[in-house]
Amino acid sequence: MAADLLLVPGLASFRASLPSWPVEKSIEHLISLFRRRQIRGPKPCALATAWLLRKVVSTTRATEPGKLILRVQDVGKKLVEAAPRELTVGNIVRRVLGAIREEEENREADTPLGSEPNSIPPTPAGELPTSFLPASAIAPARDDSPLGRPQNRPALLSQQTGGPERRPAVTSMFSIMAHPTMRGSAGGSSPIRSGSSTPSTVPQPPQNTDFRAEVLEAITEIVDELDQADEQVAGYALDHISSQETIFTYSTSPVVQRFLLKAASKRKFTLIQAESYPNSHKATHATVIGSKIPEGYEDLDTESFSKPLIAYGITVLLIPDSSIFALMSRANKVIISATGVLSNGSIVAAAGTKPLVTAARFHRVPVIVLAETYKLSPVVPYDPFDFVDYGDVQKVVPYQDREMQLGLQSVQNPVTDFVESEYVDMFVTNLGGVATGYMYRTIRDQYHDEDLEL
Amino acid sequence: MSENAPSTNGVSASSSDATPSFATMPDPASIAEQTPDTNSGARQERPQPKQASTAENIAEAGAGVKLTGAQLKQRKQAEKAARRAEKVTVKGEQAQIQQVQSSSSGRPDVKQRRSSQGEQLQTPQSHHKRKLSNQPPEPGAVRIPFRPGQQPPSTPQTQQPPQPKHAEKRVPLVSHLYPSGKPASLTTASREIHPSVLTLALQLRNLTIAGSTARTLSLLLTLKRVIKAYTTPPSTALSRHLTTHLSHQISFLSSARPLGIAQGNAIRWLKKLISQLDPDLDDNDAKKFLCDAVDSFIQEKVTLASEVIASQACSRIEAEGETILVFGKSSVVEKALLKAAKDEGKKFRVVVVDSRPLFEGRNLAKGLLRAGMREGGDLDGCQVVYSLISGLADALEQNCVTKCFLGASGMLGNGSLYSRCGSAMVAMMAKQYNVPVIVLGESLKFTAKMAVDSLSLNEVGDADALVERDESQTFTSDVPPKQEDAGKKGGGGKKKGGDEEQKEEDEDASKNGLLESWRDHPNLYLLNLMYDITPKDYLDMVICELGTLPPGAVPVIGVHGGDE
Repeated sequence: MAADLLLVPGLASFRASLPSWPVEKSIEHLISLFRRRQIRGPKPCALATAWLLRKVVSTTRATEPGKLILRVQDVGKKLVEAAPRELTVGNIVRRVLGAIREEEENREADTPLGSEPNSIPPTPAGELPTSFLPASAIAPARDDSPLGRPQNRPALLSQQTGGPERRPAVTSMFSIMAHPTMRGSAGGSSPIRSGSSTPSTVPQPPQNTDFRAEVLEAITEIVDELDQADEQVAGYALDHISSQETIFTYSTSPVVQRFLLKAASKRKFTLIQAESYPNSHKATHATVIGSKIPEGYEDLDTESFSKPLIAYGITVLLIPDSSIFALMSRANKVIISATGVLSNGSIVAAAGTKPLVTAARFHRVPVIVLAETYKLSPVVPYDPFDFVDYGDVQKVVPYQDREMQLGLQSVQNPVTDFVESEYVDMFVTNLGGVATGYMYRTIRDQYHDEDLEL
Repeated sequence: MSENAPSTNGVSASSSDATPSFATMPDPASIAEQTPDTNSGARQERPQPKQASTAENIAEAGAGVKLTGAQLKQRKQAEKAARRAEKVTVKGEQAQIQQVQSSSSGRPDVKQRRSSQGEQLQTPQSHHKRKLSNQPPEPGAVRIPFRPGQQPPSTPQTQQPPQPKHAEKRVPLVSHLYPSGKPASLTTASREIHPSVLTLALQLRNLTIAGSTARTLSLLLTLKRVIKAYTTPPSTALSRHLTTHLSHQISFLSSARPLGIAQGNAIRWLKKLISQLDPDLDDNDAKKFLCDAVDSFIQEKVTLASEVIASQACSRIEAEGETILVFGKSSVVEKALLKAAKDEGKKFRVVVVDSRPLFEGRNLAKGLLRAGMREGGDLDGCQVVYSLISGLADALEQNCVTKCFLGASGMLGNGSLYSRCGSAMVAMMAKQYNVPVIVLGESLKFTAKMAVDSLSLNEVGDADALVERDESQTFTSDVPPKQEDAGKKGGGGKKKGGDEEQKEEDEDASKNGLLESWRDHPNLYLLNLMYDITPKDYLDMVICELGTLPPGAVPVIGVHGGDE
């Protein structure tokens, strides 16, 4: 308690307060932090949500997964309401719900385990991951499906998405026709916990109370994944950046920085960096020069700024936002990060991305968007305005400038832009490259169908 | 410096009688008024020139010489000190100038008259000889060290010459855009440079005069003064010699900042006019003819042209419900908007889009607000919205923009628009939202040059302008508290000094720390392009004083000032 009083309200203070505070207070605390925008940005929001849900799960005295699901849903809804534009909050809630549902299915699967124990092993013996323990209900549907034979199709898909333990997407085609409940469980059995093939699913007779431990483990894996995602995305850097290229990037984010650093360790390229003026230009400058993060940008991952690209001999050309069009003609690729990817492949990214990608389109420069899996959101963009977030007006017109402050009809400082999917040529997630047209599927694979609407 | 004295006398004479012609034009008037005032004020102060020149020496000594790291560091410190000192001096100067103006407005006139008589006597010989420096001064010449006296108003600019650094770091991508040769400063000026040219050069260099129209106007007015002060040396004809004389002035100006398209056109016109002069014409008549021609050129090509364009553009604005997107600041666009709001009483909204580092849009927004385009203002019903270029998409979405007006620095032969950097993005996004994009530009800005790419025809601005300096600092706490301190703790200088130092260090670390040291990083470049090129596809219409045309028809109008 004493320690968190010293901290500025934010992610760190929340983390410090978490162990000692009662769960209800922690929930309120996080909600108020979200409301006051003291935690913002995709990753900090995701982390805070995951930590809180871990606490919620561990403190809930529920013997039934169904009860736990209700509880997490309840808390999740509150969190999402508190930070409606932070897509990652909802994503993490869905992931946690997914983990609980998986446990639920495991339990259900375990109950009839005795009745037909031999029917299961053959299925995972194929290409399926060990986590694939289908509910007995869909077993017949599965038998109908020529699942094992046309190996080429799942293989093709997994190649496209690059996921090592990809569930064959075939089920979805069949499940379209199937009964909704079956569909649910079919989808439910599927989600890839990217990089985290839950080892818990090694068949062991679970006790009634034990499922919570499994869920907690799954949440820990989600947190681990949050930390490793940048690195995993960066792992694909060499596939996309070749020597002597000119890369154009906008604003700054840890994932892009890591991606470029990874490429820089092997290849020499030129980077044109536009600064994204009112909101993240300072962070951009800090990234470029490799200095400490200025105040107000701590939520960005500090480690990634330790060594700048210029230290690797990469020529970095820093330009103001106005020169984007002028310099786009020299770029080979645009590499940016998204703060969120929506179900149709549209992205939410730093303000100014829309003009940037439009300029790229004019100059026929391909746009690559880096998005960690936790940023993939099943939300459908009915109204693009919903996703534009606004920040401190003072950054556009300083408060000292009374004449402007009073006289102008409105001043707004959008922090994010909504960019339609047609401007994006390719995504790189921690599963590898994903074509824009296939993004919807990758996103659906992340979550249970029941959780798409929170 | 004292050798330069004779040539300087010309300004004071010409500056006073140049004024009447400005009366019709608001812009140049303010420019022109500025100059004589500051001159007369500065002339009263004796100690300042010395101080300034020493600082200048320190700063400029290093120019051109290769420096070691340690020396660089030293110089940087010296510069920092100079900058600090300059802040104080500028303040002091302004105050003094004001004082002088208010107290003794009559005195400088006397001197001026005396000097102008002296000039009549001696300039004919001395003015155009290049190697006068070794000769003793003419017996009749009045040795008033005007030149040093005139410097103080411009010294703040010369004290921090970033020139040697410029040479160090050039972005390879646009290396062809950097000016060759020494950038203009007081010391690079040869002695035949007319003082008003010198003043203009510094104003151009520091972007005090930045807009295309303003640059052209100030250029023409300055050249008019040069012509007035000009006397043909014996055994040459005016029509032959004046052009070369002007060329020297112009090349000095272009070393301060590369000439704009409109400026180039104006110069071409003037030179052609001079070369076509009747050789038998008396000098005074010829000069009078030229000056009148310049006046009518300004009248016709700039003043009236912008009026015509403004009213043309006005007629494109509906009486109600329009939202007009503009970028940066263009004098013609501003005129058109004000005309529509004031004279025609139209109700519309203006979305001003702006960008770093010049923030010209703020000036436009303020101009519109001051004219009353706000709630409760004279032009209530008109509103101004301000956005930065990164918020462009949102500004377009939220405001239902119906038209986009862009100013021009030039219209290229292939129909592309050459304008302030960022215009292309604004036009592109406007087009994206199906908003018609209308360019307002005088035909003086039309050129036969072509470019399909923003980097082939452009100008590189000062990269240091991109180094973030905290706005809030400059607005409030930076200077005033210090002065208060100085007033309060007059005696306790020690304490005050300590405070100040610490404060400044803090400032440097937190505010300017990030990019201040960018030159020390070998692979890091900052690029501040001044212009960009908007492709023809994004433009719907060009309004010039000769009419309204599609962008592709620019060559139909022809290039002013003549390829003929």
